[in-house]
Amino acid sequence: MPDEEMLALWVEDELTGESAATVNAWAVAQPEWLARREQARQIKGLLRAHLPAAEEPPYADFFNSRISREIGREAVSVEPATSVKVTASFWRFFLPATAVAGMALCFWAGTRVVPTPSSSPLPPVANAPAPMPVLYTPEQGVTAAFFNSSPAHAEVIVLDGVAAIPDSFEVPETASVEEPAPATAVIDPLPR
Amino acid sequence: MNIFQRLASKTLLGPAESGSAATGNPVEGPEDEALVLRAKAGDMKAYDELVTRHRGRIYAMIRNMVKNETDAWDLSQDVFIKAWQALPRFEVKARFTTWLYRIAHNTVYDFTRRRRPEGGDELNDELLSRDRIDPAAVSTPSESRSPDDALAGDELREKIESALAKLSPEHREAVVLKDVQGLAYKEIAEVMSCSIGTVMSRLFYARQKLQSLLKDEYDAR
Amino acid sequence: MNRRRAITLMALLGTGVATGQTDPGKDVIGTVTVVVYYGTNGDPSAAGPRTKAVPAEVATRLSREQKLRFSKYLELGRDMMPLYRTYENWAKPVHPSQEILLRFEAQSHLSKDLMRMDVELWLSQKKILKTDAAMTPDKPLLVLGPEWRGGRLIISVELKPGKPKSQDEE
Repeated sequence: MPDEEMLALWVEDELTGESAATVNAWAVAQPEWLARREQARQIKGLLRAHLPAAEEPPYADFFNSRISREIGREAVSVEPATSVKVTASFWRFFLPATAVAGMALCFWAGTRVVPTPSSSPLPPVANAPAPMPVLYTPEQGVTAAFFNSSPAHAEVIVLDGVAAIPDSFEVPETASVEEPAPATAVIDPLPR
Repeated sequence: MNIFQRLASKTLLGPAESGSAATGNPVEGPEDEALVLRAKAGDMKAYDELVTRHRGRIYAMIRNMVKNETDAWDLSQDVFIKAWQALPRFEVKARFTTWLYRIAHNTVYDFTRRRRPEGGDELNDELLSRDRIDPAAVSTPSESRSPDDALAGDELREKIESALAKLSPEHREAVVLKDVQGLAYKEIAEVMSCSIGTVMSRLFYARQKLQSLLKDEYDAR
Repeated sequence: MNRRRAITLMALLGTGVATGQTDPGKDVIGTVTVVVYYGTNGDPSAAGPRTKAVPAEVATRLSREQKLRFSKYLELGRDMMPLYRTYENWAKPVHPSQEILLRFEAQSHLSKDLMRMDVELWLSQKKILKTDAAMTPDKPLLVLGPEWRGGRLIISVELKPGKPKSQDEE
């Protein structure tokens, strides 16, 4: 009997030459294996005829750009924070005394303006604005726009081009409340 | 002619319908190796080119593994993001495609495991399976088919996909990788982290079941 | 008796510990509340009798943002679901209808209070929007959605720490 690997290749019609001839001869008396090979041929033929081995994903350009974006985002999140170094004292060893004095004066003036690491630490992550989210709208014609709304203290996504919910849709009973005749909150649309 | 020969003979679709990768396997050769080397050195353009070359195969494979097209879209991207992260560990002499399939296998496995917690509320699976991305659709994808198109490509493809969905993930993956993607046994064993013997038996079982499932659907007409 | 109670208690505790350790992915790390509001500049009775009044502070908040400003707001429904550490979950704010669904899943902690979540909005059984919003407690994500009966729906997604109170977990 052929070994497991040879049988596997034979079932798939991937054996050639002498090996194929050998197994063919052996299989003449093996109806189960012949049936198995036939079954493999049929299923393979059917699947290959109707399921593509490769299929471009929809929105292919967006597919790639989203990957790049995520990779870029990951890279930023693991980058070590860079620190500002004070190097003025280093230059003192290389410049004439007068130039050094002038430089020292200028540097001192500069420190009044530019924050040094010790006086102005990096803001805590929690206060830093969250990165822009990725928005994906698979339905054709639908777009989404994101912004941070300070007045509403909320993040907002505005969808455009979405098909309306049918008027026939009724709010289910379970979503209702026990109180009868709910009052609506009437808001003056024009801010004062 | 038995039913499978009849079904296979109605090749109303070619092997693939769309895109530049539609004709099938991108040849992995020196071009891939050069791109991989550049990508390993941090060249994003080279990596973008690799994504373009391989996205068709990865998307097709995952689409055959999960019911939902938009999930397949998301998961395919996850594969390439993870591949970028793992690129430093990839040995250039290995086959890039097989390595990608291995990452796709792990990604799909993680996805199906974490789909919902045990005992969680089961949403109607019909909801998820009907979701389709159809770039050609003007409004919403049409779900009705004329009787004349009973065995038209799309409907038959749906039946095949429905039958595939009834297999366990391991059996489904084995038949997708072999009979659709055309991988060698050794490659499949590497992707699925199992022996060639296991691949053989999974394939045998999967083909048996598919034969039975599709025969029933066809005979019901 | 005391010994029996002690053994029972220890067994229960042991079970609890064992259960808790089996799948950390099922740890509940927050609660997601999804509310569907209806905003209209027309007749609010078009929404039908099964709607709910909106608290004044919510209406004020919504109206402060020009894009979300309407003269009247109503609540159509809400759902409150646990946010698992590594599993997805679904909110059905107009249960049992599946007209409006929201899938969400925790992604990563960007900081102690800032969590990135995958959020998907499904309308009429189609995926309409997917985003990876960075959520903080008390700062909802508001999605200005589709039109309905002369107004527009606003879907609010809010993340809070802790587990849902006395909700049957799905």
